[in-house]
Amino acid sequence: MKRSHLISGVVVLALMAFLPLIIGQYLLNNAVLIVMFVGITVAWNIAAFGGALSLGHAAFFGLGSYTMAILLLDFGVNPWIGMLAGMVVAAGGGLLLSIPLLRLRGPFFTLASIAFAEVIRLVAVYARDFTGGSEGLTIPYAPGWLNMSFSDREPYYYIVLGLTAIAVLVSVWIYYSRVGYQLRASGSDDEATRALGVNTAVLKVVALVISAALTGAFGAFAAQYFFIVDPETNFSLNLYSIQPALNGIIGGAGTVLGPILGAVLMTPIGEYMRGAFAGQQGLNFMIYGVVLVGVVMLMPGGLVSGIEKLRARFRLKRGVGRRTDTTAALDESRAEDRL
Amino acid sequence: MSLLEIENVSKRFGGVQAVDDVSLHVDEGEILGIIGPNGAGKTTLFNLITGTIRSDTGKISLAGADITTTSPTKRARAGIGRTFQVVRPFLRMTVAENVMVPVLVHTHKVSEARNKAVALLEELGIGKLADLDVSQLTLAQRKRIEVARALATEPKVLLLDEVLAGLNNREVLDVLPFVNQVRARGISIIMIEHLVKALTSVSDRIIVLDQGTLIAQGKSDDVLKDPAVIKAYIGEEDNVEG
Repeated sequence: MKRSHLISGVVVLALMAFLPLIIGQYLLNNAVLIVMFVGITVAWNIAAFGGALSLGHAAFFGLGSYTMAILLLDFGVNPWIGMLAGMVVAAGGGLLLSIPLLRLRGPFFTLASIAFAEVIRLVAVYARDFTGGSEGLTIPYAPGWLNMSFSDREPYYYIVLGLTAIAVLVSVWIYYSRVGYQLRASGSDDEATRALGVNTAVLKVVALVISAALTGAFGAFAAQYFFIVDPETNFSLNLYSIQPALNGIIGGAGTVLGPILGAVLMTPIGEYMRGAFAGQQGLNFMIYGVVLVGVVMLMPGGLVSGIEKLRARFRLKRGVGRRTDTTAALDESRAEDRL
Repeated sequence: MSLLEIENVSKRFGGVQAVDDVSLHVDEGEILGIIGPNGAGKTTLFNLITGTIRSDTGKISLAGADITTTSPTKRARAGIGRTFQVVRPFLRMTVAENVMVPVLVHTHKVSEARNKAVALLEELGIGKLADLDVSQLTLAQRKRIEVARALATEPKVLLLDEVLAGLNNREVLDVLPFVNQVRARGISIIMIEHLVKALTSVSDRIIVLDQGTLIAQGKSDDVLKDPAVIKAYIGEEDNVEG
């Protein structure tokens, strides 16, 4: 990890911490959602480092929500401990999803991940005794830090900001670690990576389990924030499987910054359109689809790669900047090849 | 005992006998060339050696240890390195990072792995490419990166699958010394190549495959005069070096 990354991260976090002092309660609700989706997308993206494009992360989110809620309601377990337990259960779910991950390639794994999440959602619907069936579970209102329950939005905001900071830290740490390099190689070409003596199966499982556990933490948080846990919301394919995947792909899946950018950009657009086109059902999804097609066609590597290309072009035009050394080396070596 | 020994290995894909009862061996520090017409089973033979495909029959051993049923990852760790016919660089990673991937198998510290990768690139005379993104490289450069990456696994035997294919004459002359550089490190090489002239110039010994069977082996001059080889590989009795 480079020092400049750490510094810019700390600066952004500090600025974010002052946000509740500036904006009101309504906007703060949006801020909580945006920060939460940044966290969920970053967590989803850790599996994507290794090339796993999952559309089953709603399962991990819901497992986190339900574990915390059931432990609290049936056994009186403290929500903070419930959150940790939710991460463990979600990690177990990740281990389960590793079975198709290691056997199926690309889109076939993606399809299997949807089925996986649907099966778990149906279990939540039918295991009525534990889960309350379709009506779900209601979290009792008992304000206080110990109960992770508040009348104002500020504390929630700081909790989700902390969780997201942890997710980003884990993601950056993995990206620049030994595991990260080998994982990214595997995401680019798994067979070639194995031919170099890298045991990619273990790496992919580890990445998916970490990704699942982090997603589970956000699920537990959401249960406390919305005071309600039900199968349609907490295992929602749209909200917690497709949304993080879209955010990640639009921003640049497999990069560090991409998922953050994608979530920051797309969450408010999604929220706005849901309100603005409330009359015409489905129109918001259509516009969303158009945006996705546009981004994928114009910038196949996502916003991050698009921005990088623009910057490179700008620098070449100006003939200045950090990359001149490398571009000079490139020109030189190409000239040699042409001789 | 040879470094790599392959005994009576066969592979059938549906109705096609891709490799049919092939036996061969490679000694330490030796360069073995493989030629044969398209579809002769050359790349399949490589896949059998690296373990990407399991053989139907026979036995493969490396330095005396039986590796017939060992996974590709373990074979790579045991000392079988390879390049792919179509280059397969890790995209969105720099050249140095590409080479770091195999280095990190043995070296756990990232900064140390980076130093080792850069040192290897410099040794091979391509150090200045280290910080470039692989997508910026020419094909000749990518071929060299592919070899560098395979070398970073510290192999005992290196399998080169058409490293010269798609290169112009000047580039071929650039990459060929690379092969000798590898040998100078005490690494044995098996090379598949369509450019017979280039192959014979570096190989100690040549084998010829045709429709999955080994039809000739020996010193390159003798092999290329073999009527069976001329018939199978060239078709007519004509200029062998065409």
